[in-house]
Amino acid sequence: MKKEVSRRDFLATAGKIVAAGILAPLGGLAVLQKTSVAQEVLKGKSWPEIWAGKEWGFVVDTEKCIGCARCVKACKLENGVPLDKEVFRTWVERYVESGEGQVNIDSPNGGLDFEPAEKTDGKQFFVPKLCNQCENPPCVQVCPVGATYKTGDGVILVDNKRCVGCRYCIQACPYGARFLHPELKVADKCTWCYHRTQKGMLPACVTVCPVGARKYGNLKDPNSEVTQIVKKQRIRVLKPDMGTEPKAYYIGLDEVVK
Amino acid sequence: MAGRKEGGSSFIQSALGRITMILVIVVVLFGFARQMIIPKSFGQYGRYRGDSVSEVASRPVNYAGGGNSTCGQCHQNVFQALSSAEHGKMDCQTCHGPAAKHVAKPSEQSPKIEGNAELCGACHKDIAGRTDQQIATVTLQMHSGGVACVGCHDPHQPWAKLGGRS
Repeated sequence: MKKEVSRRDFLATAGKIVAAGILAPLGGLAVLQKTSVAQEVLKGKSWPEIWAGKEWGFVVDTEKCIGCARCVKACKLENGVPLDKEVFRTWVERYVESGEGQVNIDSPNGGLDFEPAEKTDGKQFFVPKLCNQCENPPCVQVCPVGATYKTGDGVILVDNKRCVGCRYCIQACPYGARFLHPELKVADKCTWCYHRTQKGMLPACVTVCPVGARKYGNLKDPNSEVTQIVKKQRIRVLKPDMGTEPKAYYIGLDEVVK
Repeated sequence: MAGRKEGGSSFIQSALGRITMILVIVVVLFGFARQMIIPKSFGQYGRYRGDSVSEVASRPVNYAGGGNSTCGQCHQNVFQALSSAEHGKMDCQTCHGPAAKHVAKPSEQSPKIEGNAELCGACHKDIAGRTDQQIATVTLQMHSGGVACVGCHDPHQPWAKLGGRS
């Protein structure tokens, strides 16, 4: 006589098989992760060890900036962004207020080709822009493939092997800091020169700025220059109402700056 | 119903068995596909490929990071002249361009400088937004009439050739 399979037995057996089917590959995955090459890099330290006690911050002093755009050029040469294409990891905007309160904003070729332009009675100044490495980055939230992410020390990076070039992140960034790399066809953005800072160097733009308008450092180090500026000086971030909590702080930022 | 039960005695041939079989195949295929599609280090530190951090961090550097004293090890005279002059706080690479390869192998590659008025003008051209309080500005055509700036001004000591700043 054949044994009748009860519904209860069937569900129990099927449940076990399903669980085994899911857990077995996951177990394999866990083993692979432990042997990842990432663990071996940078003096044998793991990334969580490197990230511990670090939170990078940036300060832009708009009162010092002279709009020479050496940062724009250095950034492109450092990061392999084509010089002849209208895409920028960092760029300089010029704000010229006329006497009647009208504001003209321009950034020809990212600031590399500023024309003399008429001097007016109103305010005139430059505002360098770059990725704000937001605490709450909208670009990371919208990426459908996990190709952009925030590191443990607070920098937003792009995994250009994983990026499919869908441009969601470019749309999501309230600061226009992202673009599609014209040659690689993946999303690209300022990383505060992560490849330099992890080797103990300053970002290229900070290195070449002739007037010291750009500063970079660890916000978790109470003695760093950026921490001191954030603590003691009058600073503002761009579009604070967006709730993105930028970590690029501006000295002397006028309210007309968008 | 009765005939089928007599013919197929095993669980596999029953309706429930067939459904179970299909379910098992689907689950196993899903498991394998998942493992194939998701990159090895994905999820190591968060919802991203963990290896990507090292890939980004290990990209080559073009601008050397050692400061002007690195250049001064070989170019002592110009380093001395510059350090006390107007441009003394600037990095050599601001004007000379990226020099990491030159620092690594000095004889193989030298940075090429565009020693023209345009380079000086990037900072010193009189344009809207730039004030004399910040930096000395000139209207290039009126100042030199197109003559190269370096004819009168040594960039490392801008006033030396002119007998000092008046």
